[in-house]
Amino acid sequence: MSDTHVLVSLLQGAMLAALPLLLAGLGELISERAGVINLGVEGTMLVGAAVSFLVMSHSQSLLWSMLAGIASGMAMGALFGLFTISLLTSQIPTGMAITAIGMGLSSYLGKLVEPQALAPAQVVQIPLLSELPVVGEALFSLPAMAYIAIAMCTTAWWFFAHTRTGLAFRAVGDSPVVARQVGFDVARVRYIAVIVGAGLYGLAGAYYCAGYVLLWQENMVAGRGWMAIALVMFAGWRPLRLMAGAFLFGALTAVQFQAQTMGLKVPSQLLTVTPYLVTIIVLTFISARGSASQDVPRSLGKTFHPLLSKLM
Amino acid sequence: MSTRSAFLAFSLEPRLQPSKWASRASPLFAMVVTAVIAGAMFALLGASPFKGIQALLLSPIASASGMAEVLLKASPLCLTAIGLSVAFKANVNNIGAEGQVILGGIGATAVAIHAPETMSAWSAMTLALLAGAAAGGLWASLPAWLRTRFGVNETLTTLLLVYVAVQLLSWLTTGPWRDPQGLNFPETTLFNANLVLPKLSDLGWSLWSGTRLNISVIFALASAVFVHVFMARSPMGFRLVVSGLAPRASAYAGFSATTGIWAALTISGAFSGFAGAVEVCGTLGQLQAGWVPGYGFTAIVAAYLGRLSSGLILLSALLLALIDIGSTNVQMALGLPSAVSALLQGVLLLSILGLDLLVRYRIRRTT
Repeated sequence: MSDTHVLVSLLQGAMLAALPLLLAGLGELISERAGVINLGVEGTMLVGAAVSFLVMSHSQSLLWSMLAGIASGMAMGALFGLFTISLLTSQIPTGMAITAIGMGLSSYLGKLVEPQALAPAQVVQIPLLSELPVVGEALFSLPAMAYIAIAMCTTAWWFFAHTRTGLAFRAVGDSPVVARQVGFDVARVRYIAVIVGAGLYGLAGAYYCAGYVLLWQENMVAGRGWMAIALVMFAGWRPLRLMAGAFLFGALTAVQFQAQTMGLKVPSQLLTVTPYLVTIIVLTFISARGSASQDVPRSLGKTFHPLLSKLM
Repeated sequence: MSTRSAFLAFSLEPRLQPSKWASRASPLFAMVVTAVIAGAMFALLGASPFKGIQALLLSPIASASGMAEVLLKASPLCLTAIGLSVAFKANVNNIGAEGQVILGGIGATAVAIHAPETMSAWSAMTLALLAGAAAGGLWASLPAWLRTRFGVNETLTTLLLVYVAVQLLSWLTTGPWRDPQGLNFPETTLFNANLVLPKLSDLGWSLWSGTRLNISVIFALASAVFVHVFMARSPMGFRLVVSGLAPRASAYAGFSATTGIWAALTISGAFSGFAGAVEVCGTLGQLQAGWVPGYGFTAIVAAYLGRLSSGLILLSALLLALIDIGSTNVQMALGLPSAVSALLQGVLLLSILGLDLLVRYRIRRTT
């Protein structure tokens, strides 16, 4: 295998592996910007994956299976929102409960259809750019979902930085008491953030199953939901940095596969464990820097009661 | 935008005192809700709800050996959940108990495969169990250090370390500790007899003869009593409870937050490690690559279901163990996936969290 060939397949592998992380991370970013930490990502991704597998095996349509993934994610998000926003439960155990429900539900759904392999996703070649030597194949000949995800990230950046509604979200995330006094409906903003975010987790899971791995396995998401949560912290709650972070994490997975095909004498466990260790190291650096604490949405994780919540 | 403080024309008024009635009734209501949902799910999948509930809850305990299995499953779960209740009371989110359990198993195995056969059973066993507890405590001390030194949120670090622990287990059982006579299976040698937990039937309790029930049950009961006394009567327990309820007040009182975090994480890690050691030295008798305790996560459900109180956690652990074993029954008897267990645990937890609302608030209709 020539060096450029290896490089191209590494880059492309990184982009493809990064995609589910990027989608789930974006969803978590939106939710956390409004102050709600949703630990149900893993379970929601699994449900999205199972639902997309069901729809894909019946209809052979990637579009419908993605839409089904989004819808199922939104339903789980609505359930999570109901408990944490209206019923004022603590966000962390509620998220764990949603993950448990998602794991159980997805196993059920996955068993409803015979296990089968799915058709691979179509690659979209961007007209001129895909002719470029190395980057052409790696960056400009990707499935449509990659471009959609990048567009969504860019939209999210623009939304949070340059729109009034985005400002409302950030206000709710930093100080819901003040936001409420200014006139924003904190519950509504948080519901929207949670449901949109959860729709993205469902999409991430759906794409991971029907567009990437192309078959169904119990618990196939294998911790990527948790990595997405770490990714949001790594990116300092900024959508553009999120893309870079997702690419880095994807690169780690791609290197793992590449090393195995090249027959390097590294224990497979060491390669598997690297993304998690790197995440811990990165989290430490982020938290150690003083400036990082300014990026955190200040009401993250705190339940908001319209009358009782105090100014922080 | 709307400035209504109510949702759906109800408002939530805080109670002056938590409602005693609601706090006693909510676990029961949660179980009823979960049973209804379980029945609905069985019906949806074409099986009779009553048969399903019977397979799930009643047939596992229909015999002494069935009860023994439930108790065996509940004991490590109870040990882990009791330890986690200490952390959760101090508002430390240790959700990586699964990894700490695995490290406990590894620690016990380290002693077990290197201890000479001539060592007395009592000292070998104590050493192995202590090693397991120490290993679990050490695994939890890493997030403690990262939190106190760098301010890294322990929710994520404890969780990420679970995946590291799984890989460590895989490497040890396929590499350095693999049984040379084991036909290449990814597992260690079987432990010597002096390192396997004694069965209750061997100690003279004939009710359990023919079952696998061992002294792990006694450990679980003892831990519940110990932690209850620790949190209620000891100075450190008091500090942990106060720092969880009112962090600012505890800071003013001079309770060091750093010590509290270290204590909460290492204690819960040690209990989880002990649970892992108990399982590895008890029913498993060796370390296997495919060992997935599972109760590291279920213990979180058990701790919240038991409202962080030792007695209720004991009962919750029994219930969750029953559901776990019952779900394999459901799979065999009705052909339904055993994943119903995870689903029901999640529903139970969600119900108890939601019903908690009634304890702290009064619901009033606004005109």
